[in-house]
Amino acid sequence: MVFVHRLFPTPVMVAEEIWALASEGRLLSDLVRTLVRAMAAFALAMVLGTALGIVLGRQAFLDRLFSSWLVVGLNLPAIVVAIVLYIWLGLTETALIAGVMINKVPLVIVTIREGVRSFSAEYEELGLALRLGFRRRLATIYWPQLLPFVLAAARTGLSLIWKIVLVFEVLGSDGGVGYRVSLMFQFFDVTGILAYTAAFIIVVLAFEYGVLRPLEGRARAWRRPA
Amino acid sequence: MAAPSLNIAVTEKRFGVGAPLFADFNLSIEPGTVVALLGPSGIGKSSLLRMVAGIDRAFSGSIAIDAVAAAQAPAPGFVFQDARLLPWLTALENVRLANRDLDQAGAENLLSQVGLAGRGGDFPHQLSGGMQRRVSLARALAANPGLLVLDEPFVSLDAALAAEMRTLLAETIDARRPTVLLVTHNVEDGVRLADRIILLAGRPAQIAADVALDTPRSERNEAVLDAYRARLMA
Repeated sequence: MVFVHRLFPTPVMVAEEIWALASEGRLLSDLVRTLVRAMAAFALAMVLGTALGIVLGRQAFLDRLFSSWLVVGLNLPAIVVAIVLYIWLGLTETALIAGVMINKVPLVIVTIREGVRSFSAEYEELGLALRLGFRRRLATIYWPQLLPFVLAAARTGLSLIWKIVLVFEVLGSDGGVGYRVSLMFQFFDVTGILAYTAAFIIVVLAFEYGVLRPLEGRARAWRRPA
Repeated sequence: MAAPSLNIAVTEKRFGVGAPLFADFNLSIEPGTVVALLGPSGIGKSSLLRMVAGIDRAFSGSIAIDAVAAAQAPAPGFVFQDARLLPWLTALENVRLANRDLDQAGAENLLSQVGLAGRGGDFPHQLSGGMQRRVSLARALAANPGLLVLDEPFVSLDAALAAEMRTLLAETIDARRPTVLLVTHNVEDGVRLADRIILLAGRPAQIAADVALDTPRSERNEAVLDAYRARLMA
């Protein structure tokens, strides 16, 4: 019975473990460290990927030149990137964040590039007919067309980043959810692992419903209800 | 904004190889005149309109609006074949897009002039097709009430809606006296709205007929319209 409880804890046991870990302060500090890493990598990947996606979407020559590299980037195993960066840069925050970012950037580039390619020629013509300056065209014509793609890139990217950050923390880190889970793995502490996992999922859901969905709702307010 | 004159002197305009669309094409339009350009599809009517609006600058020759090159002149009020409203902006915001100096009250006033009082907060998908066309006309008036450039504004509308839009446009023209360049393939649009009809034919496009319609729009009864139709069909 003891064996069964250790490997298959009940939800109540997991909840109690979450409470205990949170009371100690360790859970929160690990969650914060992981979140900071994920958010830093996410922000860098979104900014860099959006800029590069716009360039490749507008410049066919550059797109042809780099499209093969993009395919390589999309299919590069995350673990290889992590190991190589840890060797080159050491077990540092920079290596971890750069590794996560490198894994995410190609996905953002591809999504944004498709968004730019789908820009309406009719709206472009309207902008010219109304003599709209670049900043007004950006705000009223380009950005609203690009926003659904940015949100799609954010959503798919975040789901990817949540996972990769934890793997990278397992590989080489001195704190964070992934690091703590790897320690618990060594002691077969399934209750602790599930407690950390559940806490992490609660944070992800809070971000989904607290940030992403309201943003999407505002961005899609003008659409015809389905 | 006062109605400007329009001087078109296109030396050559072509798309790819083959005969040019326009070669040594000249047309002068007096301020406050409504000119309808009639001709078959593909002859270059819409292309000429885009050149006048400064959208298409790849041609040799000159197009001057009150002696200013079209590309440098204030934007005309352009009505496209479709309503072409930005779906993420409300009707009011679509109108204000054309003129950043136009305040909310001014935009609401324009919308009420086209029969859309109180609908400024609606998004395009909340408006009927006819209402969207009206917003498009209000936006053109916001951009430049002195020069309207209309590219088949009644195409794809059913007969009743086209007649309604034609009446609205006639009222707007009579109230504001703008210079209007109207592209249409429909003789009916020309005889009901224009002061002058230019028939285009051939490639490169040439002026096949230049018909002045002297009877004021408001006094054109069926007999007058029949006479104009007969002149154009001849």
